[in-house]
Amino acid sequence: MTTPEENWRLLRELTAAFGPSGREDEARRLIAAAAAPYADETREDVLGDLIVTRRARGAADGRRIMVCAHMDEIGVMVTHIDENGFIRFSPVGGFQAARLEGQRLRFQSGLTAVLVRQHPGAGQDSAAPPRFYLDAGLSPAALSEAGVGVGDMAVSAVEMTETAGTVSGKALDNRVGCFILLETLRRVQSRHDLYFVFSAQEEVGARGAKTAAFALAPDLAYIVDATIADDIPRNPVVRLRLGGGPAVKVMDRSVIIAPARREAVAALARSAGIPFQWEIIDQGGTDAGPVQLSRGGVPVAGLAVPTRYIHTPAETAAKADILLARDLLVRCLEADMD
Amino acid sequence: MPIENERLLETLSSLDGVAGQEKTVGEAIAARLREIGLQPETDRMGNITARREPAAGGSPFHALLCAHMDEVGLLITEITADGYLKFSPAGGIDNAVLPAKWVRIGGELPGVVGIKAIHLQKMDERKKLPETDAFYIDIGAASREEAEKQVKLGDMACLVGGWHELGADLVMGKALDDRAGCALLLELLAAEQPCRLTGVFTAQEEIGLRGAQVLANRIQADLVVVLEATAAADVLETEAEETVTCLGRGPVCSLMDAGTIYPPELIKLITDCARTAEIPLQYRRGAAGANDAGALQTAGAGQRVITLSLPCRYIHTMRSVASRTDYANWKKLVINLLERLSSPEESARFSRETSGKDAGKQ
Repeated sequence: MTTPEENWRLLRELTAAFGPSGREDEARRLIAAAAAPYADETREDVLGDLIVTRRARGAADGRRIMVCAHMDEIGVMVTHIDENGFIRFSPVGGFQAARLEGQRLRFQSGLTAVLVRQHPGAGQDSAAPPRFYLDAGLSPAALSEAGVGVGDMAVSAVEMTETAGTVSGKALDNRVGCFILLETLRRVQSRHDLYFVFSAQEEVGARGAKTAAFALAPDLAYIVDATIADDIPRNPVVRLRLGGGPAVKVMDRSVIIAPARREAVAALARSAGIPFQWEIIDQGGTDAGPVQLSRGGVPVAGLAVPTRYIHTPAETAAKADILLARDLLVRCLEADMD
Repeated sequence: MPIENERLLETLSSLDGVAGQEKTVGEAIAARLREIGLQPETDRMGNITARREPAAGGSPFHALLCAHMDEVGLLITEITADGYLKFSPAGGIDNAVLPAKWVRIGGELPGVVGIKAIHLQKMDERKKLPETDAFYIDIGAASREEAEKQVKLGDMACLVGGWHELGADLVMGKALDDRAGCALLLELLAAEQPCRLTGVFTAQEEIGLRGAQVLANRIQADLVVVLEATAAADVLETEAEETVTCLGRGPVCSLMDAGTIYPPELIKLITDCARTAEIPLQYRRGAAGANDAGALQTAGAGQRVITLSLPCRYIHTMRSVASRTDYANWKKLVINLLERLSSPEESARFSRETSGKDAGKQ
């Protein structure tokens, strides 16, 4: 199956959108606009989740499925600006400053700043954990003029790059999931009522998915995310690789998928000739955790796109895996429910 | 600037109420609530709730204000053959605070946290802080049998600290975190308010927001305001970028902590309230720690939360220090915020009706 060039442009726009946890407005607006032609209803909740309803087509069976991909990305929040305009920050989600030294970050206002490792200071303990700051080259007054103050957030400033087979950039975790949901939304013909949730605040503890799941009280939920591909040099045990097909979730730190649920997804993949890999990760939770535990419990399944270098500005995924994840998701949503 | 009801704060701060054993504090709060003509309700976790309707013509906007009753302390886990008590901390306590401190068990039995006299310490022992299990409480019992007559496993020991004035503007109390919030909430409930107010004095915050979790399943409001005492780090050898808050610079509006990212539109509203009313305001610079807001924000279909705090030095010790002026400004800010939210315009903007509708049940 081929996908027109402009669809990768949509993924590029999605990854470019500013949207650290709790400040998802820009990403949400972009997604809402892309979803609008196919949505029966669109709304936003208190946590900032975007909920797009697509009602059953054909003979409706009255079942309700939640499809969830988080739209927030990791970043930093400004906590202090000193008299010289150097900016101190706290991480938002799993932002690791040590891996981003020398990289540029971008504020919502468009201003960029470089991430710098602080000099330890004369006679200081060099074994102490390194500290970092942001330098935009501006005075406190000029920063304020440029729309940057305490409480504002910044994210990586890199743009997505593309090869014939891969995409790479910031926030593929999880705009790639948002992309799959949007691409699914325009194709799917389902007898179930579908609720596409673009969740907020996943990176800080899956907070948006929790409230969305409560509000929707679905019969079934699919969580779509980016997950860790570890097919890198000198890794003795590779669990997930680029190009091996979408990952079907078995477990992560927040959830264990019921065997029958993951098998149902696997069976659909097999019958459609879609290759897949099992996702078993022992670090990091996902939206699947709180959704499963919502109200009296919700059956959940998970699909993920294997992605190298997660939580860096060089997150890299295979185009084929993304398209196959979309195809598999469409089949999941169109299948009859037991 | 005086605290209007400083005696109340002193009384509450001096009561013992380690997480899970807030009964004494709860009774004092309930008694005060009845005095001001409200009916306190206690739930199964020990949270105490009181409601106050606005005067005729008031706004239907519903604000939930909460302050936690519990404080950090020590839970007795073992009685040794010698009659000493071993313990496990309930909530975050720095081991450096413990040695040679006076404690009270079950609200009355005195004890002291034992420490080897400096004469008996080896050189390397003098240089580093002992682990928690090296500490014990001495109640003067000669044997396990004697100790067991006075103490049961699971009893709570509370650090003892009185009430003192410090300089012209500061006060020092045992449990300002968060009896200061409790005192402010009682003051607010005692006065006419422009909108519907539910005040909740929560239990077990210090050990993981447990009281608030249950509260969140029961009550939802248009806005939750958490009244906290938060760390002031305007202390020696702390650089400017590390001072989370400073005493004397006014109440504190949180931006983000380990449990919550606060909504920017509310931070803006509070900033605007402070500016208009000429109340000093500081942002909490630092993202560590969590409070009841974390549990309340994600309850049900979600609700808006904000935390407004009193800056407090030496928090989680029995010598917490705060400024009377900050307290007075804190109160002014909350009153101001409630008035703003009661205006038809802001009330419409922030009420539950305008957001967070159940998307599934159209």
